[in-house]
Amino acid sequence: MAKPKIAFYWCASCGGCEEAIVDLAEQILPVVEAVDIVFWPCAMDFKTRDIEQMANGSIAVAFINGAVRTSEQEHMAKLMRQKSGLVVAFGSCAGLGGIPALANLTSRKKIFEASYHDCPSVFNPDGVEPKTEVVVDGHKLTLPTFYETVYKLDDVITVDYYLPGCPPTTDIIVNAINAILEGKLPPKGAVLSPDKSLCSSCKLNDTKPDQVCIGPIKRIIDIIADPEKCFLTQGLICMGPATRDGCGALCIQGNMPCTGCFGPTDSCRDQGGKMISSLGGILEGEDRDSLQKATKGLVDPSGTFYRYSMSASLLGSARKEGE
Amino acid sequence: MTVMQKKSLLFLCKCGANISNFVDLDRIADWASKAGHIDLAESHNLLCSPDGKKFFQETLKQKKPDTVVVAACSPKMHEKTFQELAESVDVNMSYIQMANIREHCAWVTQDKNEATIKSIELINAAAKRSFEAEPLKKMTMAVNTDMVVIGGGIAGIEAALSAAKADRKVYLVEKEISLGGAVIKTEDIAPSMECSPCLLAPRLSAVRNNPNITVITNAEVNEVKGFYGNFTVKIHKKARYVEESCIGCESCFEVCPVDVKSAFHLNMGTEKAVYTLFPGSVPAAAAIHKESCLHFVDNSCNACMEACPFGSINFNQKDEDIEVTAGAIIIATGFAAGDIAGIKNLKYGAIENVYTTSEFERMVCSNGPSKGELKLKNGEKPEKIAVIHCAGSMREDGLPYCSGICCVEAAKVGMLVRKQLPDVQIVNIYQELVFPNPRDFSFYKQQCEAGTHFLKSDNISSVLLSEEKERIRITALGIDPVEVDLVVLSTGLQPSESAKKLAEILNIDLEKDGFFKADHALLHATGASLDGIYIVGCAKGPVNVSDAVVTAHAAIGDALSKLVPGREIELEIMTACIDPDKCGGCKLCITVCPYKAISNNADKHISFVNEVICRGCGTCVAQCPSGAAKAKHFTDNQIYAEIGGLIYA
Ligand SMILES: Cc1cc2nc3c(=O)[nH]c(=O)nc-3n(C[C@H](O)[C@H](O)[C@H](O)COP(=O)(O)OP(=O)(O)OC[C@H]3O[C@@H](n4cnc5c(N)ncnc54)[C@H](O)[C@@H]3O)c2cc1C
Ligand code: SF4
Ligand code: SF4
Ligand code: SF4
Ligand code: SF4
Repeated sequence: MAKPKIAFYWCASCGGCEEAIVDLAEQILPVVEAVDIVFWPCAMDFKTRDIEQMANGSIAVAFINGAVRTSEQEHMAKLMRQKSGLVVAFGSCAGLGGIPALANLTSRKKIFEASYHDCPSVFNPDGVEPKTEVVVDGHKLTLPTFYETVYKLDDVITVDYYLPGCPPTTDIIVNAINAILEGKLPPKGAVLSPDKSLCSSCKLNDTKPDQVCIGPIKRIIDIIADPEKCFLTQGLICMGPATRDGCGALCIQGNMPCTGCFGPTDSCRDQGGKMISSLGGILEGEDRDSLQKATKGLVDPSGTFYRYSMSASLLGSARKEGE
Repeated sequence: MTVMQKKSLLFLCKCGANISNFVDLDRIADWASKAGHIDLAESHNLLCSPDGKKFFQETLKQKKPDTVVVAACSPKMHEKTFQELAESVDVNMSYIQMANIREHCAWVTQDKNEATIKSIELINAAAKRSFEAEPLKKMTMAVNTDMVVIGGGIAGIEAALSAAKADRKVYLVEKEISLGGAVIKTEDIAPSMECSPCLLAPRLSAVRNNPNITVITNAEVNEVKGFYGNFTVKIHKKARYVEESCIGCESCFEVCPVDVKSAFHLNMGTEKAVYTLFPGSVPAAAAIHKESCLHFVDNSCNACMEACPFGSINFNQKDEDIEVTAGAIIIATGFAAGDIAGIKNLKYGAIENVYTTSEFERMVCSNGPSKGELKLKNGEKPEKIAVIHCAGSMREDGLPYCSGICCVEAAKVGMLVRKQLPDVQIVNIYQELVFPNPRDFSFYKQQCEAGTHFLKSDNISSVLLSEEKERIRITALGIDPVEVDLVVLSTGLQPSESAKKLAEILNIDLEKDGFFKADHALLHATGASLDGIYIVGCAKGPVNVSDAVVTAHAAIGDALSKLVPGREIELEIMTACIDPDKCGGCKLCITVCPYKAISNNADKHISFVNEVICRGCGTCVAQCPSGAAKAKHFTDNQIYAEIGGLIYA
C-alpha cells in the first residue's frame, strides 16, 4: 500500500511552527518512515505547480501553520484544501490568528506608514510602498495583496482539526500524527488537546485558595515571581484559567505565567473576554479609584488577553475609519 | 438524514387595545406565516383572561408544539402565568418564551410601523432562543423551621426563648463563655431601676432548662450558606478546657495560683486562670485562660484538676467545628462602648479617677471588682462627681452621631451614687439632653429633684479635664470651671467588633455608621438586607433594654409567620451547573459566588454547585474562564441565538 502523502505549508507565521516539526528530532524518523512528504516549502524545494498538478484529495493531510494576511496565503490555503483529505490548522496563528492578528488593532495604512516610512531604521527617500503590480523594464511584476485584516485559517477554508500552541508541543504533534495514522480521530472540528483549562494540570493550582483576591496587577518584570505559588495569586496575569490544557504547563515550569497560547476551551467563545470577565470578579477594590489602581500595571490589555486569539475574538479587530 | 425544522407556536395577544392599536398584528401574522420556523395560533383579545388561558392550554394540547412564543406583555407580568399553564398540560416551562411587544413596542412609540418591525424582531429572537432551551425541573424542599441566634445578650436571650416557646429548635451562639451581654455588667436598669441580675437570672435559667435551646458559648459563626428557610451555619467553638459537668462551684478558683486581668470587669479587677464571668452564669461551667494557665505555660500546675470534685477539668479538650441548619438567623451581637482613646481633651487613661459609664457601672455592681463599693483610687470616698454627656459623641473624630440612650445612663449615675453615698454632689455637664419618651423624661426630672445638678455647656466638645491638687478640674465653654473627685464619661454606643466580619459572612449590608442595615426602616425594621436574616437589639443601632427585647420579639414573630412547619419553599430552577468534564478546577467561581454555593473537590480537581443553595444569579458563569459553568436557561447558545434572531429577523 502506498504511504499516505503529507504536506506542510506556512502562511503568516514566525517559522516557529516549522521549527517545532524539526524539534521532533528523532521522533520524526518513524513519521518520515510512515508517510510521504510531498510538499514542505520551508524545508525542501517544492514549487506551487507541484501541488497544482496533484489530483484533488490526493494528499492525506495538510498541516498549515500561520494566519492568512495576504491574497497569496488565501490562494495557497484554498489550493491545499482542494488537494487534501484532511486539513489541520497547525499552531495558534492558523487556529486563532496568533501574534500576527494583533495587527488587527491597527490598519494596513498605519502598518505601511510604520514599516516603510516612520520606523527609525528605514531609509526610503523615494517613499516607495509595496504595490500589487509594477512594471519594470516593460515586465509586469506582481505582489500579493496585503489584507486589511488578518484571518484565521478557517475564515478562508474548512479546517478539519486544530493543533493548538505557539508552537504546538512535540507531544501533541506526535499524538496527532499517530491518531491520524491509526485512524483514531475525534469528530471533525476538534482541537487535538484536552478540553479543560490549564489549571487542571498545573501543580500550582493547589496553592490557590478558594477565595482569590488579587491586588495591583503586576507584570513579570515587576517582581521576582515565586515559583511555588499560583501566579494569579501573586498578582500576575496568568491566562491558565482561560487556556486549554495540553502544553504540560511548560511556561509555569519555567516560572512564567501562562500567556494563553493553547487558546480557549471548546465552551468558551472569546478567550480574552472570558479572562477579563473573570478578573473583574477577583480584583481587589470596589470603587473606581481602587480598581484603577489595581489595573494600573496592566499596560497592554489586548496583548495580554488576546495575544493569540484576536482573529477568533468576538470583536475580531478594531473599528477602522473609512472601511 | 433530514433534520426536521423546529417550529415555535406563536400566540399574539391584543391586550385589548393596548397592543392591537399600536402594533400591526396582521402584518406580524403575515410575516410569521412566511418565516418557516413559526406556527401561528389565532390572536387573542386578552390571553391572560380566564378565557385566554383556556385557549392557551387547549391550543397547546392540540398542537403539541416544539416551543411556544407568547407575544404579549413584559415577562415580569405573565411569564410565570404562561409557564405554569404550559406545565399543567405537560409542556415544559422552559419552552415558553415571552416576546414583550407591549411595554417594549406598543407603549414606547406612536409609530406603528416601527413598533411592528421591533415586534417581529423580538418574536424572532424569542423563537430562536426557544429552540435552544433545555427542559427545566421544578424543585422544592420543606422549609427548615429552626433558628440560629448569634449573640447571647438580652436581645438574643429573648429571641431564643420566644422561638423555643413555639417549639422551634434554637442554637444560641455566644462568643463569651456565658450568656448575658452588657446588661449583666450593670447593676440597675433605668428608667425603672430594676435590678439587672434579678431580671436576667430567671431568663438565663429558662434558657438553660429549655430543651429546644442549644447554647453554644465561646463560639463564633464563621460560615453561612444558603437562604431563607435553608441555611447551613458553621460555628467554631473554642476549647474551654472544662467539661459541661462543671457546675461552677468555684472550688478550683481557690487553688489556682494565677491572677489574670478580668475583661468582664473591664480590666478593673482580676480573676483566676480558671474562671467564670459571674456566679450563676449560663452555662455554669468555668473556662481556663490558656495563655496564662501554668499547665499550658510550663506544665507546672494541675491544681484545679485535683481540686475539682466533678473531674471536669480537661486539658485535652479541642476546638470544635459545629454545623447546624436553620431557616432563619437572628443577629443579636449588640454593641461596643464608644472608643474615646483618641479624644485627648478627656484625658481618659491619663488622669486617675476618670471612668467611662461602662466602667462606672461595673464598679458599683454588686458582682463587680470592688463588690459594688464606690471609692477613689486612694481608697477615700468621693465628695463630688461630674458626669460628662456625649463623651466622644457627635464629633467627627469620635462617633458622629447621637446614640439616643446615653443621657439616661448618664442621669442614672447620680442615682447609683446616692444609693450608697447619699451626700455626694453630682453635676452632669451636657450640651444636648435626649429623653425621648415620657418615662425617660420623668426619670430625668426625678434626678433633678433628687439633687443631680445639670449644667449646660455651649459646646460639649470643648470639655477639657486637668489635674488640680488631687482633684479634677473641668472647663468647658459656657460654664464656670468645676472641680470634682471623680469623672464619669458618658460614651456612646458603636457597632460590635464583629459586625463587619459577620456582615461579610452573611452577605448582608451595614449602615454607614457600621450597624446592620434594615431591609426597610419602617416596614421591616428587624429584617436584614437578605431574607431570613434578622437584626435585633443593639445590633441594629443603639437601643435600650426595652427596645432590645421588643425588636427580638418582633423578629421572632415575623420569622415564625414565615417558617411554618410543612410549608415548602421553591428552590431556584434556573441554577448554575458545572460540567465536570470541562471544569479545570481553577476555583475562581468559588470566590465570586455570593451564596457560597460552590465547593471544590480537591481529589477530582473540579468545582461543583450545590443546587439547593444556588440562586441562579449567574455570577459564576460570567466568572468561569473556561466556560465550564453554565446558567440553566441562560446558556450561551440561547443568548447567541436570541441575539442572532434580533439581528436577522
Ligand atoms: C454603660 C451602659 C449602661 C446602660 N444602662 C442601661 C439602662 O440603664 N437601661 C437600659 O434600658 N439600657 C441600658 N443600656 C443599654 C443596654 O445595655 C442595651 O440595650 C442592651 O445591652 C442591648 O442588648 P443586646 O442583647 O442587643 O446587646 P449586648 O448586651 O451587647 O449583647 C450582645 C451579645 O452578643 C455577643 N456577641 C457579640 N458579637 C458576637 C459574635 N460575633 N458571635 C457571638 N456572640 C457575639 C456579646 O458577647 C454579647 O453577649 C446601657 C448600656 C451601657 C453601655
Ligand atoms: S492560574 Fe496559572 S499558575 Fe495558577 S493554577 Fe492556573 S495555570 Fe497554574
Ligand atoms: S492548671 Fe491552670 S487553671 Fe488550673 S489551677 Fe493551675 S494555673 Fe489555674
Ligand atoms: S449561579 Fe453560580 S454564583 Fe450564582 S448562586 Fe449559583 S453557583 Fe453561586
Ligand atoms: S471557574 Fe470554571 S473552570 Fe474554574 S473551577 Fe469554576 S467552573 Fe471550574
